[in-house]
This record gives sequence, C-alpha cells and structure tokens, in this order.
Amino acid sequence: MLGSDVMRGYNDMLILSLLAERDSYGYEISKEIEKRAAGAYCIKETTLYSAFGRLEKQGLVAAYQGSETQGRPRTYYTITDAGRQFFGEKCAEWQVLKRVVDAFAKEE
Amino acid sequence: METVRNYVEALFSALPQTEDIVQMKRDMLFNLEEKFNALLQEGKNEHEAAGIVVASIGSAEELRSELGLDDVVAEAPVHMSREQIDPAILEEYRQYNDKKHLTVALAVALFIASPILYQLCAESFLRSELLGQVLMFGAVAAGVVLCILSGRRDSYYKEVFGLGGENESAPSSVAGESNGGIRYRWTGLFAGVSFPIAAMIYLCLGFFADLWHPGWIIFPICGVLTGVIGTIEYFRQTQ
Repeated sequence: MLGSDVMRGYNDMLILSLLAERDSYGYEISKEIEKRAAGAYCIKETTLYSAFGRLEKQGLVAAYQGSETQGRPRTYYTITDAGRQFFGEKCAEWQVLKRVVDAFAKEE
Repeated sequence: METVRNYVEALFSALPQTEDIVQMKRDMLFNLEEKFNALLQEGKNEHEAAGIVVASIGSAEELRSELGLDDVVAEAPVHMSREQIDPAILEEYRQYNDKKHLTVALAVALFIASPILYQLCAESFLRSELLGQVLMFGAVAAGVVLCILSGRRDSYYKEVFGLGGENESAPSSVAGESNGGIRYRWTGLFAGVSFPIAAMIYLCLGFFADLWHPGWIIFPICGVLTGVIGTIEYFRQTQ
C-alpha cells in the first residue's frame, strides 16, 4: 500500500487524469483512484480536498455546482486548458522519472 | 456520521478559519457523508462505516503540510486569524514559554530539597524538628503550587490561542491526544496516586506503630520520584 509521501507530486496528476476524461466530484474521484490503483493506493481525504483547492487556485481546474444530493448541490470539477497542459507535462516527467529510477532499482 | 463530523470539526478547529479552509471543510464533510451512506448501503453497520471513513481522512499533520501550514504561524490562534494576532499577547506568551522550563526545574528542585531542609533544621544547630517538618512540607507544597500555576497558565494560553501553539516542534495532532506543550501525563498520574497512598501509609505507620519517624520519609520519596518522572517526561518530549 503506497503511502501519501511516496505519491506526493503525483496526486494532482491522478486527479487531472480523471478529470481529463470527464467532470467529476470528490467522492467519485477518490473511489475511482482506489479502483484504478487496484487497491495499492487510497488517496487520503485531506490530500484530495487540499489538492482540489490548490488546483483551482492555480487555474488547472474549475469548480461548479452540479446536481443536488443530500439536500445540497454537489461541487463538480472540470479540467481547464491549463490543466490539460500541466497534465501532459506531468506525464512526460513520469516517463523520465520511470527511466531514471529503473536505472537504479534492482530486481528482487 | 456524528462521529465523523466531530472528528472533522476537531481536525479543522486548530487551523486558521479562512474562507478557503472553511469551504474545504464543508466540501469534505459533504463528500464524507456520501461515502458513509454508500458504506451503509453496502451493508456495513454505523460503527464500521464511521471507522472506515475516519481512517480514510488522514491526520492533522498531513492536513497541515498539505495546506502548507507547517511554520510557527500555523499555530496562530483559532479565535484570531493571522492578521488579528495581538502581538502583545503573543510576546507575553513567548516570554512565559521561555521561563516555563525554569519554573519546572525550580519545582523539581524544591521537591528534592525538602528532606534536606528537614535534616538541616532538625539535626543541626537549630535542633527544631517542627521547623524542619514545616520547611519540608512547605517546600513540597511550593513545588506543587508552581506546577499547578504553570499548568493553569498553559490552559489559559491554550484557550486564547486555540489548540496547539505551545510546542515549537511537531505540530500537534488535534484529533489525537497531545495539545502541545510538555505533557506531564505520567507525572500527574503518579503524583495523584502516590501522594494520597503515601498519606495513608504515613498515618497508619504513625497511629498503629508510632512510626511517625521514620515514616515521614515516604513523602519526600514520593516527591523525588515525581520529580524524576517529570524530568524524564520533559526530556523525552523535548528530544
């Protein structure tokens, strides 16, 4: 199970990846991350929601009020153009990171 | 769900209540409720669901570092936002905090000195056992008073500043236990238990066996042990 410090620097990218496919909201995103990571990573709520705040402030996502549930409209997030660009950069960075670390990792 | 709500409220209560943070708390609570209900739908009972949800939230430290609030300013008062800190109170608090260690050391010194005072008075030229006993218990009492006063000032500042704001090392875990400062948990526990027991033993020894002397020695022993435990706790928490 990956800890949050290992994933630091890529949490934003995970969220942007999902938003690039379609708009979504908090709980749905955390569920989807856990599902796609096949249980190897469960993003903490604190991480997730502070990420939303950060991404919105940086203009990488935009928030809007969606359908009502539990008596209140849900906050949905959509990715912006700047967000898509940042996501692309992170994907490229990951390829480089993968290569670098692989050069040092030993197979058990 | 109440359990979850309380946990989240506690988690956020130590943070500056800016609009962003309050909004984040609202969003979080909203989604956590959805998660909670989904778990109930799956057949979990309330306790299990609450447990799972709370476990997924993360700790106060993680929240702080995610929000970039790791520095001293993060310990800023809850009731006062960053802009509103009364510099006078903050300065007063810093001075008090520096001297707090001296106060603790003085209290411990008094505990240790108490039997010495007795010896000095009773067995030396003054030849007064009464004075020795008075000074001894007086020293212990003075040490206890210092500890109580220090504890009260801590509580006062804690109230004014909200939780935290005392320990400059790791930020405190709000939902957890510690509230900053040096927590003399074991010291308080030991003193609270040992002194009443010591009093009982002393009275028994005195009335049933006429062993007032050397029965009295049980008090300084408790005092010294309390002081030792207190010093251990102090050093363990400041490393």
